[in-house]
Amino acid sequence: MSDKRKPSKEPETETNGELDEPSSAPDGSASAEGLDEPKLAAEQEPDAATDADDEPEHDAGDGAEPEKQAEDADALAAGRALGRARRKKGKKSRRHLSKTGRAGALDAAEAPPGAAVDTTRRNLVLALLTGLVVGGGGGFTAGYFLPRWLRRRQAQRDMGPLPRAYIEIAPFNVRKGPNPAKVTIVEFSDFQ
Amino acid sequence: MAVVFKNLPLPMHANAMGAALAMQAANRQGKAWQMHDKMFENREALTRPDLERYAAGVGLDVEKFKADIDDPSVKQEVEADMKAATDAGVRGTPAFFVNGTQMRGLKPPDEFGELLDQELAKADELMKQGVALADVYEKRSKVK
Repeated sequence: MSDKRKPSKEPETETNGELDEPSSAPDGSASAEGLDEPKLAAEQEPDAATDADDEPEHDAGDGAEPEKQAEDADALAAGRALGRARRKKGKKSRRHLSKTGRAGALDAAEAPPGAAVDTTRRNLVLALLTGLVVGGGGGFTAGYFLPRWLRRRQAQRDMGPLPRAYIEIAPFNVRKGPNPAKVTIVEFSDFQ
Repeated sequence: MAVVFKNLPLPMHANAMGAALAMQAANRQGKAWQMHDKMFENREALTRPDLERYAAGVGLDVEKFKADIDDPSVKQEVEADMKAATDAGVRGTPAFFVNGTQMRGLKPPDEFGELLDQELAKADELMKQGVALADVYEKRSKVK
């Protein structure tokens, strides 16, 4: 573990070493500035590396322009964040559309002019088709199964034993044929 | 083979009761079947004046016919037929019973003839067993 940490600290030491050279100038202030700059760069470098996590080696290698690097890294990170946000939004709206199929899911800004009218028309057509399918199905079911059911019911009634009844024949009943007879038909009727 | 006519004037037919009374009134003069046929020929015109005209046409004594139509006993005959229909479970017209067996609705003549043949055979069988001809109808009709 301690062996792994050492190389990571080395560049700092090297950088300091390189920048240490101006500190050998007779002017002490220069050496003080020279010391400050690398410190600032060293402080900023890890941030830039964190933001631009895809290219750590490049950032680490460009020690010459640390401020520009930091700016680039910030811009890159901001751009990526924006891209992610847009992708998320796009996914959401697409999912919503696929689930409901409604025009309301479309952003007004993104929707082309007349899209709302098209969608309303589409909804009407969909509703009409649904009504036709449901109504047609119901009509077919009723038209196909109802007569069969009625025929079967009638057949069952006809197949059953015929009802029987003793109907007393009164002296005033109008009669045709012999009396008595082997077979007597009794007819109930009205004249309309 | 004999045919017995029973009146079942349905309430939805406005002139059916008048026609039934005319049938029974004509029967009192022995001309029921002639009146029956005349009324069936003119099913759309069965008002009281129409019935009196038909009665005259078939040779009935019209004054007696008018008196019999208004006779309460004639109405009782019709009502007795209606009760017999209700007791037998008849709900519509025409309805036929062949020796007590009901025909459902109007049947083709072949089917009707088939039932007549069956009943004739059963009547013969009963008579072979010693049942008197006068009792055949009642005996067959009371078989469950």
